[in-house]
Amino acid sequence: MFSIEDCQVIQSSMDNLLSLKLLHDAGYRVSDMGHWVTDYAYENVGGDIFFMAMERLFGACAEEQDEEGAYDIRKFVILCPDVEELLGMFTKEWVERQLTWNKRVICDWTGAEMMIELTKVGFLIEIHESPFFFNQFVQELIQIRKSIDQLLVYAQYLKGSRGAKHAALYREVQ
Amino acid sequence: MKKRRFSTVEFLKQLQERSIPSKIPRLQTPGMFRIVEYLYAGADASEVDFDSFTLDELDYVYNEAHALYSMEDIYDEETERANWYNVIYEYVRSTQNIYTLLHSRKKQYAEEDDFI
Repeated sequence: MFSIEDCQVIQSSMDNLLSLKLLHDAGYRVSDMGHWVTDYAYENVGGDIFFMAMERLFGACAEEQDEEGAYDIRKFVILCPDVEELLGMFTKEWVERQLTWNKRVICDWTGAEMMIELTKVGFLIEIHESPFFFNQFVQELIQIRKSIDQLLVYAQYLKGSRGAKHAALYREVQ
Repeated sequence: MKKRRFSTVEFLKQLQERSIPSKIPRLQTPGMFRIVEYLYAGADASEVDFDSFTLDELDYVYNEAHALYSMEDIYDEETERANWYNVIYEYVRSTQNIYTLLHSRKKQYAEEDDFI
């Protein structure tokens, strides 16, 4: 009843829907994300929904051009103004420690790997081997976004008059 | 021709005797079938009501999609039954059956002549 192609189409479509549902449950608008039902199995390799999710979560996102000789490695540069704001107030090591994140995520089904690095202007994401399924990566990005939001609230608190004392204390401790 | 009456009682009795009981507990909910329906309707993201199913239900269907046996994996009676009780398989199977039943209503099949 199902050919191999059919199975792959169903799997990648369900993966897209799972990514959308995760974003929806985290409170993001997904109604303009277009088609999640793929027509053929290899359509999903590009990771359109993953790319849109990155843009929605952090702001701007761009894919770096392939280097010569680099096999199956994709690099994404994320520009996130919130990270810039945080790094203006705290040190990079402190922010890295405070974020609840996994720097390495491995896809259960394909063994593809995502590596995240904090940079001065946002994040650098590297994906090794081509993953068919992106939902675990999207889940990780949502987790990072949530902890950035928490840190932003803390930063706002330090900026306010009530937090001034606290900020002085923080400087002493460091 | 003698008319025969269709007895639902007898039908259900026979069905129960001949069916193979499922080893897997049935955990299926309407939300899961709604997800599969969205899939086969080719719904756009704007047409999907994301509050009509839970994340757990979607996760179940996602795992079912990975557990699906394709035609090339099926080679004997044992593997033929592998897809039974799979949400996606059941949806497709019942839709096909309903389609056939609907279009066979009051249909008279013409006898085809042998061309020899």
